[in-house]
Amino acid sequence: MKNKRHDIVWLFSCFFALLMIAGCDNTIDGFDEDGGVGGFSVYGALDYSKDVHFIRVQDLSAPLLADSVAELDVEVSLTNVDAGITETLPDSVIVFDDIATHNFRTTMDITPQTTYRLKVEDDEGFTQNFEAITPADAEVIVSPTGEYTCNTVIRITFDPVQSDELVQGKFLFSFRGADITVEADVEQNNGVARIIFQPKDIVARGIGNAFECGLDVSAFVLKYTHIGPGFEEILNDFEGLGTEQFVGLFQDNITFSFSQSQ
Amino acid sequence: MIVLCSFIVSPEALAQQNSTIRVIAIAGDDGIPIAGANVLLLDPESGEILDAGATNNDGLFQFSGIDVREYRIKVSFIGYETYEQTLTTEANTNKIIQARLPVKVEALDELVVEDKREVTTGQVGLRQISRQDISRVPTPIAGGDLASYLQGDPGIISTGDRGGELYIRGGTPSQNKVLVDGMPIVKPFHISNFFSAFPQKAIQTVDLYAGGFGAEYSDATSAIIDVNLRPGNFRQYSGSGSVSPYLASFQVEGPFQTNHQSFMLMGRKSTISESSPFVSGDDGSDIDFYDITGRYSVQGYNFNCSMTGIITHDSGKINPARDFDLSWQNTVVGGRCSAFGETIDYPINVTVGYSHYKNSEASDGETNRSSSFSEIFLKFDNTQRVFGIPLDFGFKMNFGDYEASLAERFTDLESFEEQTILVNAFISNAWEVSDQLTLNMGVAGLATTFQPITLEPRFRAAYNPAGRDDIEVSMALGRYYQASTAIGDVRNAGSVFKVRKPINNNFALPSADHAILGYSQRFGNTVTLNVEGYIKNHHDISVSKLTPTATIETETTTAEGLGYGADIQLEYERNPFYLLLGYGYGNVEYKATSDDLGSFLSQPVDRYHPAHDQRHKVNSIVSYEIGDFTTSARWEFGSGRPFTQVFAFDLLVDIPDETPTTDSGTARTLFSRPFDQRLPVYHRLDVSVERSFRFTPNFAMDLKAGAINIYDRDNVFYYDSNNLQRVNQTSLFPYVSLRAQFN
Repeated sequence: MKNKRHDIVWLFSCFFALLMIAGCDNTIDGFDEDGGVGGFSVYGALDYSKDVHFIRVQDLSAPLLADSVAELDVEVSLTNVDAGITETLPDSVIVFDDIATHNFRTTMDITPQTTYRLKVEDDEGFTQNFEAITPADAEVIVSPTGEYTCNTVIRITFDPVQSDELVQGKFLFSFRGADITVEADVEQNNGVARIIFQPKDIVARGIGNAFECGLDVSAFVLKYTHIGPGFEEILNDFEGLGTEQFVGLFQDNITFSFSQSQ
Repeated sequence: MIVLCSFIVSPEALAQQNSTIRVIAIAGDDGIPIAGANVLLLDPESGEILDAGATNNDGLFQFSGIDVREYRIKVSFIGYETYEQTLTTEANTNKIIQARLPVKVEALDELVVEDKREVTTGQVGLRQISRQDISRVPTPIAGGDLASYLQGDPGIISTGDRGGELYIRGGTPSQNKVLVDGMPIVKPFHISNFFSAFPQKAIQTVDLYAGGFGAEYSDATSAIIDVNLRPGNFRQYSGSGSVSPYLASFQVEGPFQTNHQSFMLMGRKSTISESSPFVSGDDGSDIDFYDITGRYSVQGYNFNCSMTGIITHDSGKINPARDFDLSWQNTVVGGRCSAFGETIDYPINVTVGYSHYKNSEASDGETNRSSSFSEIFLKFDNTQRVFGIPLDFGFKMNFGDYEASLAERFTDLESFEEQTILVNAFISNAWEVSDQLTLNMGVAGLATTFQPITLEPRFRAAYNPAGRDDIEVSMALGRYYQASTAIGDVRNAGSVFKVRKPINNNFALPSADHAILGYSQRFGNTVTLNVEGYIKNHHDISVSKLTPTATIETETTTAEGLGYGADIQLEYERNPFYLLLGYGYGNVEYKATSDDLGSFLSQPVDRYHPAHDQRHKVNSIVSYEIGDFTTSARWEFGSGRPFTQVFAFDLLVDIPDETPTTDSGTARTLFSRPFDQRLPVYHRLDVSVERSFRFTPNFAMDLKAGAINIYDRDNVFYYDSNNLQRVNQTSLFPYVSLRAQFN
């Protein structure tokens, strides 16, 4: 009987000891290293119309807390793949609401139809590469030329624009003190892109019909962007949840003035 | 079925069985009815047990339809002298016996089987919790609390030590129903999970139905916690005041009219925010709670009534590092009467009252969100004999008012105010087929403003093999519906804010099917083994959709939830030693119905194990009385619960419209597949030593010292994915509490 009692005590002791041992590993791995998006996010554009460019690099495993993002121990370099020129980029820290952002600056000469590679390497040797190709130097043709009315059909052609490139446009104007933005409709086929519009339609889309074209709004700006190959794939990466927007592009503005419709 | 059964009983038998003995067990010291007292109907000559039962929460038990002859009645309860009376019944009469049991003076070495045994059948899924059970759990206050006890149950999961959320055998808090004296109270559990609105001293009995409950309970799809408060002392005035690092409390009670009318008033207020920096060095206990309970009771020869009012308030942060300020309040006012006069065959119970609940969430820079629910209710229960068969029946009417101000928190739920009428009725019958087999069959129905009437069959059976009363095999089956739901963001453990809403006619009522099979055996007078396996299949559960990005707005959908598992509990009780060992296995999985439960990149999420899916839980309680000291220890072990990993923190800069130097970008936390990882295991040892010092016959002080988490383990409460922060439960927390009592 006494032995039996000892057996039970021993059994329970072993049981609890096993549970305690099983409970020794008390760590939590809250970050999914295999998430698939890589170690860094990169946001920035290489615009061959500009002289200075900033590329933001972030550590994807660092929570968006002041302490976590204050330092970014990486080396960032930009290579013109076609010319074989490499430049190490300095970090410019810009703080938004206590959150430090690391924006790497380059003055490298950016040219059309050129491949650039951005390399991010951390202090443990982990490397991640990003590639951006600038678009062709497209000719922008506006027709007709001269003076416009609200009813004038204006046609803007960008030539050439390859099928894997993208042209985006926005009309910007002021109406009674408010800044209005209207997305431009871009047709893209046969190696060219076109934006065709009538000023009255653009104004109507921005503010509705309660306006007098040419009087309330007599001018607007078309801000267009010609983006290099592969940008659409980047936007659709990870169901739109991608963390890379490193692109080559060209941006410019065209101003239109118009009188009242007849 | 019930009608069919009625024809089985012969008219001859009915003619002989037409008298009733109604026993009311009353404690001799304070005049309060004794719940759970054993009542035996004996042959006065041979001493043979003819029938047996246990008193209900009003201290009442009756032998109905018995032969006209002489009987001996024996009433016993632990700690009281046995009451015996011989009487002769008369045809077509109901005899009432008020059995006043004097307090037993000498100490008990071993509980006699007859004292300990509760002669019950078909109790699968039910845990009857007494004040003594609650007092054995180390709690950082003098006495104990229901919340601390419940968390040790192998089938109950709490997601940490804050938030007041209890998951019972796979069911969520909103699928459970808590009743206090028959009145619904939505969330009586405090923000510190050690405490509820039910301190040990206020409790008469608690019936925890972890599933498979009978037709008398409705409008819940998982579990019932039925709390019965005790009346105030009917014989003398008494009071107490206590302080501890967690809370301060007071209690006064006494007779308005000796043996007939009494009152009780008690209140508690948390002190943890003030004491925590001194006791544990933790300055993060940013929580506050209080509760006030008032009670007036009146009991007569053939009736008893009580009026009860409860107010609870909780506020604070679950995660001190986050900006979520949470609060919830309950207000319950109502009364219950039970009439059991000689002119009626069975007691009539009526409950009426008002219950209000409000919870809210606020965060810096965001608008407050709140959701409230009020109801006025009337409930009636009775039993009538139909063709000689006693049929329990009852109905309930609820007038509900739901309000929510959501500040666009949920995409498909706008701020709303809705009124509902809910009518519920049930009928059931306990049929003793033989000495070995008892069946309980019933059906409940629920009709609401927006939905067709439900039909909810319930079935319970208990079988004693070979007529042995120390072994019982029992089972329960049932279908359950619920007229409302509560929706929260399940991935945000930093908030327990829930939107309560009625189910309108565009959606199916949430429902569940339960099946439980139990085996219990008593070994001698000291050891009890209880094993139960269960399946709960929930339908049309409202859940929030889980997507890779955390957004302010939450979309909702419906899911099927399958929960199954088993609980084993072994209890050893031989005065002065008590040991409880419990093990619970559970598995809960949510599956998409017509829609998906969210998405992870290109794949829809069609199933996941929710945050309360804990596979293994072990619980042990040891209590030992050494001289004037009572020592208690509880050790708990729980396997890790699911959580969701993060695969990226990001500030999205929308190129080419935004630029890195002028635009901050949009903050994003990108979540991996929902609940795909598990937290580490949890274990904790709590201990306490208590001693009472009696200075005069009318004044005593109780001193209790102990510690929560005595080996200071870092037990994770939850993982805050937004900042990769591990939030731990209570670290080592030593305490001393002092209670002064007078009478």
